Amino acid sequence: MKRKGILRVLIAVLACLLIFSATDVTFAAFEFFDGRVYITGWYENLTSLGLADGFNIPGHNFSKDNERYSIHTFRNTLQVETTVKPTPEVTLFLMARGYFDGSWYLGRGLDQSPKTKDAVPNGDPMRMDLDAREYHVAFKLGDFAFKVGRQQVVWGEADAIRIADIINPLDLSWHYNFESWDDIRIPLRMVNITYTPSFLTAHQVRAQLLYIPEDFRPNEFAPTGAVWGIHSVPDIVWHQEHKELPENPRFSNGQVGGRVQGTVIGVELSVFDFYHRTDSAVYTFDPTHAPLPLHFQWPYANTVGGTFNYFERFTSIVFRGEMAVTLSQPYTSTVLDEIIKKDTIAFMLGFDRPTMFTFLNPTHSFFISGQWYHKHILNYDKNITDPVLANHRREDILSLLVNTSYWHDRITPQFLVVWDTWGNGFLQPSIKYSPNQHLDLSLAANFIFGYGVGEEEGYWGPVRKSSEVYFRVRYKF
Amino acid sequence: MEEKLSKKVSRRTFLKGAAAGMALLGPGVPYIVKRAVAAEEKIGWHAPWPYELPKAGVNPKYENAKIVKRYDKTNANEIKGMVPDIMIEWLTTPDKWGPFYMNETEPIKFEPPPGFAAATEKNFSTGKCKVREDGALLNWEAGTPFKDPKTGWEVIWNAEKRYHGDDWQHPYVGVITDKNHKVQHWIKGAWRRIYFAGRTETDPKPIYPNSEGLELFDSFGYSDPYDMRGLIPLYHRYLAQLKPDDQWMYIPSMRRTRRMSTAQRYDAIGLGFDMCWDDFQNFAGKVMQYNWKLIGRRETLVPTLCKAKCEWAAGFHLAAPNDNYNRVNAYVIECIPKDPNHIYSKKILWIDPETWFIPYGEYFDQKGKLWRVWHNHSTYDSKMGYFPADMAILDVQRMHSSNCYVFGSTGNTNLTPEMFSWEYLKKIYPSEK
Repeated sequence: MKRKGILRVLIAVLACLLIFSATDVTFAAFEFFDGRVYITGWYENLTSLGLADGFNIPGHNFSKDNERYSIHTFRNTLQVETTVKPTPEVTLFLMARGYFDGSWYLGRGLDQSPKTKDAVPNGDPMRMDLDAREYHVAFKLGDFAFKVGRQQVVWGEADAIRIADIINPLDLSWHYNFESWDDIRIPLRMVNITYTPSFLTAHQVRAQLLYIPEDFRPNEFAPTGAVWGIHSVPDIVWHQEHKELPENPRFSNGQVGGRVQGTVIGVELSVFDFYHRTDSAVYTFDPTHAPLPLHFQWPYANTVGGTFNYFERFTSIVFRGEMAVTLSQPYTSTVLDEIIKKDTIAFMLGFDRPTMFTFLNPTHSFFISGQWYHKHILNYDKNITDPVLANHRREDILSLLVNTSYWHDRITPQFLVVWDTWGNGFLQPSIKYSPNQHLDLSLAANFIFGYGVGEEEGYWGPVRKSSEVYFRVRYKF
Repeated sequence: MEEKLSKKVSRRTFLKGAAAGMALLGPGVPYIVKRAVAAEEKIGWHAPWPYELPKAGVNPKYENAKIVKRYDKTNANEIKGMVPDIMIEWLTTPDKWGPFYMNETEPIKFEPPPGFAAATEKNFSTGKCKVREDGALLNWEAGTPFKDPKTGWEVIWNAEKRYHGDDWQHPYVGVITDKNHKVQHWIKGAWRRIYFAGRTETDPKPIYPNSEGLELFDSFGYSDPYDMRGLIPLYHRYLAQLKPDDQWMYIPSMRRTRRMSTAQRYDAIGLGFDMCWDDFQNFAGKVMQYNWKLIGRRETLVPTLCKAKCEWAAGFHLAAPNDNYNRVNAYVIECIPKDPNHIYSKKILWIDPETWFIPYGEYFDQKGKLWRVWHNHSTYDSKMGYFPADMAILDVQRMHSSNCYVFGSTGNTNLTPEMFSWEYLKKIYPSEK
C-alpha cells in the first residue's frame, strides 16, 4: 500500500473516532467467560508541529533539517491489554502495542534518515513496530504475592525523576521525557515477590524482592537526525555502542534489589537497595576497538536509599521525598584513561496540595504539586564528562504542576514548568477534553529552552530546538 | 517469547490488521458486544453488566411490604413539606427528571440483629453515651448511642453509629448522565469496608484488636472504564475523633500508590461524579470536622427499607423511580463545614429514626443556593447484611447526575484486615499493572 494510502486510512480512522465521540453509544470493554477474559486498550494519534528549526547536523544531506512548522510526529499507536484469570488466584496479563509514525511521509522539512533506523543504541524501529510490551503471570500464596514476566516496577515518591524509579530504563526516542512514564519505561523480564505479613496490615508493611536474571536494556535515544535525537552524538558513536552492548539475554546481566515499606505514626517510609547496571554508557580509550578507539561499558553500581510521605494536617499538604546514594557511580573521563567512580547523592523534596480557588473554579480544587531535585557528585573530579547529557557536580531542578477540571471533568487544563538552575527546562501548557469515557482530545505545547554543548547544557539543552505544539486523540475501549 | 513480531509482519499485513481493528470498534459493525443507551421510560436494569440480587437473598419482610398508597404527579401536593421540595418537582415533572413514583408501604418497624440490639439497649438503659462540649462522643462501644436525641450532635452520632454490619462488599455500577440524557460514563467497581470498632455480629466483637486505634478500613476499586481500571483508593479511619483519615490511592498509570491529602475529601472525586469523598450516603466524613444543628422533626416518607432490585429509567436521572417508602418522623439536621474552603456552605440531612440511615441530603453551594441532592435507597438482606441499593446524586443546577447501583452485595462475611493490604486489593479489584 502506498504511503499516501496509509495516511488516508489513518486520517479516515481519526475522522471516525471524532464522529463516534458525538454519538450516544457507550459500551463496556470486552468481557468473556464471566469476566475471566477481559480485553481493553486504546488507539491514539499524536500529531506534533515543530516550532523551531532543528540543528544542522554534519553528514546529513539536508541544508536545513527538521524545519520549523514541519510535522514532527504523526504517531499512531494501538495498545491492547488482555487479562485472563484461569483461576481466581492466577492472573495472566498481556499488553501488546503497535505503532506507526507517518511523519516522514507528510510533506518536506523533516530529516528522512531516521525513518529506517532503530532507536539507539538497541531500541525499537523509529517508524513502525509491533511487540508484546508486557506479559506476566501473577499469583498469591499466603502472604506472598508473585509477579513473573516482563513488567514495570516503580519505586519512590517522585514524579518523572530518577532517584528510586530506576528499575526500568527509559525510551526517550519518540517524545523524549514528555510522555507519561508508564508509556516510556522499558519493561524488563523479572521476578517480583512481595511479602505482606498479615499481622502488620495496619502498618501497611511489605517487603519486596526483585530479580532481573538476564534482561538488560539501556536507556534509548532517537538516532542522529531525528527530532528528539541528541545532535551532538554522531551516528558512529551509536553504532559502536550498539555493537558493544552486553549480550542479551544473558545471566551475567543479572540485577537484584529489595525494598521494605511501612507506615509509622502517620509517616509512610521505605528503604531500598538496587544492584544494577548503569542505564547509560561510559567509555574509555581503547585502540583495539573499531571504528572508534573507544570501549563502551555499562558497569554495575549499587543504589541505596529511602523515601517518605506524610500528610500535614494544619497545612493540608502531603509532603513527600526520597533520597538515594549510588555507590561508585561510573562516569566517563575527558582523559578517557579510566572510568571515574564517584559516590553520588540525589534527593527530592516535594509537596502536593489540592487548593480551592472558588472564584476560579467553584466545584473542583486546583491540584498543586511541586518538587525540588538535587544531585551532588561527592569528591567531584573535574574530568567527569558524559557523551549524551551533562554531568555537573551539582544539579538542581525545580518543577511545578497545576491542574483542575471543569464541566464535570470533561475539560482539564494543566500547566507544568520544569527548570534547572543552569537555565534549561520547559513549559508545558495543555488542555484535555473528554466528551465521554471513550475519547480524550488534548492540545498541548512544549516550549523548551536551554544551552548547548560546551555550555550548561542540562537535560533539555540537547532538544532545545524541538519545541512543539501537539494534538493527541486517544480512543479507549 | 518472541517479542519482536515486526520482523515477521509485513507493513501490508499490519495495516490490514489495524484497519480491521478499527472497523470492529466502529459504530456500524454488529459483531462487537455493545449496548446503545438512549433515553427511554422503561424502568429496569440498563447496565452493560448482568444484575445480581444480594448474595444472601432479599429480606422478605421488606421486599414484600404491602403498598397502601402511591404518589405521582396527580397527588404529589399531598406530601409537600414531607420530603425535600425537589422531590415534589420530580413527581410533577417526569419529562424533565424522568418517571418517578413513591409507594408508601404499611409501617415497617426496623428490627436490628440481636447483637446490635443488645448493645443499643445497654446504651439506652445506662445512658452512658454523652456528647462533650466540642461535640465528641464519649463512652460509646457499640450500638445506637442515644435513645431520644435532643441536639444535632446526638442525631448525627446516632446516624454515624447506625447498624451497618461489621463488614461489607458492595459491587456497584455507576452511571454518569448529562443534561441531554447522554450517558457520559459507565463505571463498575466494588466498595469494601471492615469495622474495627462497634462490631456486634461477627467475631471478634466489639473490637478487632489493633495497635493503631483504628475504626475502619475502606476501599473502592474500579474495573471499568479504562481510565479507572485498577484504581484503588484506600483509607484508614481512626477512633480518635479529631484525627484525620490517612488516605492513599493506587494509580495504575503511575504504577505506585500516592498519598492523598485529606483536604481532597471535600474535593470532587473525578470522572464527572457529582460528589466528594465525604458525601457518600449523605455523610461519610469525620463528624468533628463539621458543626451540627437540629432543625426539628418532620413526618416523611423514607426509602430506607426499600425493595432490593436496582432499577432506573434509561437516560434519566432518578434512581429507583418506583420504590417503597416507609412513613417515619424523621430528624432534620443542618451540617456546616468548619473548613471555610469547603465546597458546600451547608447540608440539610433527613434522618430515619428507625434505621438512623440518611435517605435525603440537600447540599448548598457557597452562595447558599441548592446545588446537589443525594437520594439514598437502602435495605438489608435476609441475613441483615447492610445493602445500599440505589443512590442518586443530582446536580440540580446543571441537570447532571451520578447514580450508583449496588448488586451482588454481601455483608458480615468475616472480612479480615489482611484483605485490605495492597497486594490483596490489587488481586481482587483487579489491578494487573
